[in-house]
Amino acid sequence: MKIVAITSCATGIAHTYMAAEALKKFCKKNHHECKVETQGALGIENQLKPYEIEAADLIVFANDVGISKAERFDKYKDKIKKFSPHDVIKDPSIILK
Amino acid sequence: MADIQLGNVLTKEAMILDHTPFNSKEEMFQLLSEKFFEAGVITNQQAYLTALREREAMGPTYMGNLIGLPHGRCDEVVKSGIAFCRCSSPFLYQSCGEEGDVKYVFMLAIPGNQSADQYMRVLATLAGLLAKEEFVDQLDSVHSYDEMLALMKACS
Repeated sequence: MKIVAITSCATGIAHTYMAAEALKKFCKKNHHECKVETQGALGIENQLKPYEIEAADLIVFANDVGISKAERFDKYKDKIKKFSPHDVIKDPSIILK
Repeated sequence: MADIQLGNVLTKEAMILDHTPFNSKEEMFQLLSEKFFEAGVITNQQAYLTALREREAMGPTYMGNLIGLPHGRCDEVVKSGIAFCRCSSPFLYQSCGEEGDVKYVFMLAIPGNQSADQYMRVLATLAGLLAKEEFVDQLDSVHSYDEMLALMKACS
């Protein structure tokens, strides 16, 4: 499965980057392709490209503050699942439930 | 992660091994914020404590796996800092409606917009490490500041 994700959080450091790592680790272990864009105190990093968003089977929003450049996902609303970064950290497998 | 960066951010004065379990999260906040103040990471302990508590009110910082990750971001943080406290046995960590046993506390001092520094990347890297078993599983085997630096470097 191809999974893309965006993580962000209130202070922009702790949950953003811990959730990103938790998602990458989970996907690797379960043989899913995965790319995670972080929107944190370091700005937008590893930005998802339009073709990656289009090709994804699942788009994960793990955010508790607004997503920047959210218009990139307007055409793919049916592929989006939303979570809090905290829940993703505690159990990344929720993204497939 | 370069040694110099890590060494600049992992606050030596704020690393405590095998502390008696805390009676409360607040007691731990007091101790570690005091260490940050003594190390010159923050210029005002009360302002930083307020930032920590404000963050707690927004959502839990209990991360499972015996880890607590409290963090405060304010302009009174004048350099990025990581405090680490390992308790001799777990204590009950209550955070925004969640609770669990915590043995390892990583407290982050995050510079506000006015005081942002070049070391914030290290804070982000540490947050990522906490999701890695190879890092977390080794936290009991660390005996010194230098060993902690080495572990962080090896896992990042």
